[in-house]
Order: sequence, then structure tokens, then C-alpha cells
Amino acid sequence: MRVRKLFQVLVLGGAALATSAGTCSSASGPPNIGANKADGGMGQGGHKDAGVEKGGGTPGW
Amino acid sequence: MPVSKRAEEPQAGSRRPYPQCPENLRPVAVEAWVFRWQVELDAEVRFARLSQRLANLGGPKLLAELAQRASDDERRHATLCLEVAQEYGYPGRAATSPVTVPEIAPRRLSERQKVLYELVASCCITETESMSVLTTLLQAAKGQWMKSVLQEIARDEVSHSRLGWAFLASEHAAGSVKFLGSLIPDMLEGTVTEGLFARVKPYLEDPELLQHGVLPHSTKRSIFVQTLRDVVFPGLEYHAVDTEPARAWLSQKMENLAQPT
Repeated sequence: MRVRKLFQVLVLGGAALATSAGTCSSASGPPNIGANKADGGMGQGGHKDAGVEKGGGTPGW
Repeated sequence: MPVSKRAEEPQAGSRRPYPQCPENLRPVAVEAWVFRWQVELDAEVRFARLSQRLANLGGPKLLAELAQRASDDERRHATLCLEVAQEYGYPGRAATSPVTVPEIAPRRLSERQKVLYELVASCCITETESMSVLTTLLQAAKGQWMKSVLQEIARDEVSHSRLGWAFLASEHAAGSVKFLGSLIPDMLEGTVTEGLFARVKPYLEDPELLQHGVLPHSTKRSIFVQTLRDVVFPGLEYHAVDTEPARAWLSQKMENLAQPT
């Protein structure tokens, strides 16, 4: 499986899973690639208020 | 499903070091598989907690069940990783003390946002990166035993990654994911190991490492970057999460790497 195919398998597979779980219909689903570009950030400045060591998952691989 | 070993492979419980690993690479393999063992133990706890939190939120029952299943998977993976480490000569045994994992989301977020943050960090980023690494290792591995180990883990990691993308899709449909954009760099910073964007000693670049389930360092970095660019960032954009801050974070890392030392 090539890296680019992972988009289909994981991202689209996940979206399909959400649809089958009944949490979003295929019509209301995501296909607005790039729509966020104009949204801009929220200016929230990260998780400095969290007091946690890390803000992400630790990859074992 | 238990991973079977061929006759030429080390026998389970023999504690005989893997016979075909060059001595200078054996500690690298041991360190990598011991680290994975620990990470899988953490993931077991994290997914169980996420399952409970998803249920408490009244989230999709299917996703809460998947999170619990992921927790069970990670327990099996932890055992498998420890066994591989032991085959390479690691003398340690399974720990009995309970594992605790820290909260990774900012405190100021709502509970629902925290769960989304954690699923995006743990699944959309980390598990997706893991799938990319496992795919590469699987293509390179020649030994049947190593292939079997990698296949068993990869099979489960697909659904772990999808869990995050599914919840993100669900929350996007509810219209509440924009807050994530500026937080993705923090997730990435917490995901990368300290040395990923640094140069390393030549033995850590040995292609032979691939046969022992370990990526040469620069390959690991290039796969990490390619997966961000080709899968994670487009996936986030697909769900209307702004990736400009994350792309800027990555550009900065790559610029630092290009600086002469």
C-alpha cells in the first residue's frame, strides 16, 4: 500500500465509517477540500494552558 | 491471531538472540521494540479511556466500541512487541505496575473538544503515521516471521486510524472542528521525537535495519513528512481544518534540518 493510497483507506474509510455510524450523512459529509483556507486560525496559541508534557500521541513506529 | 514462526526463525520463549541481526544493530532493534512495547501499553490505556469518554459524551456507539476494541488490540500488540524485543536479546519481562497516560488536550477546551483533540492527535496523526511506517516496513521485510508480526499489527492499525478520521468527520458534520487548526502544530510537536529532524550516526541509517522492523533514520523522517503532506494534511483539509499553521510548522522543521551544522 503506497502512502498516497492511505488517504483513501484511512481518511475516506473513516468518513464512510462515520456515515455508517449514523453520525453524518453522505450528503452533509466533508467534501469541501480547501474550504478551510480562508477560515484562518483561531489564534488560540496552542495548548500552553494545558500543563501537559506533550500535545500529541506518541508514535511507536 | 497468533503469529506463527517458521522453522528457521527463533523459537518463542527461547530467549535466543535473533540469529541474523548484525551485532551493532541488535541494540537498535531492542530499543525500538522495547519502546513500541511501552507505547502500545500506553495506547491500551488511552483507547480504553477514550472509549469511556465517547460513551459519556453520548457519541456514536460504534466509535466507542471501536475505541474499546482498539484498546484490546494494543494490549496484544504490546505483548507482541515485547516478544520481538526478547527475541533480539532484551532481558526484561512484562511489568505489572499500572500504566497511566497524561491528558494531552488543552485544559481550556470543552470535554467534547478534548476528546476530538485526543482522537485527532492519537489516531489521525499518530496512527496514520504508524500505518505509513508499517506499510514501508512490510514492503521491505524479507523474513516471514517479521512480516507476520508487522502484518498482524498493521491490520489493526487501519481501524485505529479510521476511528480518529471517523470522529473528525462526525464532528465536522456537527460544525465544530475549526478550533483544531491552530492546535495541530502542538499535536505534531508532541508527536515527533526529539531527534527526528536531526542528523544521526551512520549505523542508524543502515538499510539492514529494515529487516528487523526498524526504519533507517532519514527514511523515517521522509516517511513522516510525506505522510503529513499526502495523507494527514489533505485529510484535515477534507474536514475543513485549517492546515496552514501545521504546514508552517513543518516548513520550519525542514528549514532547520537544511541548516549546516
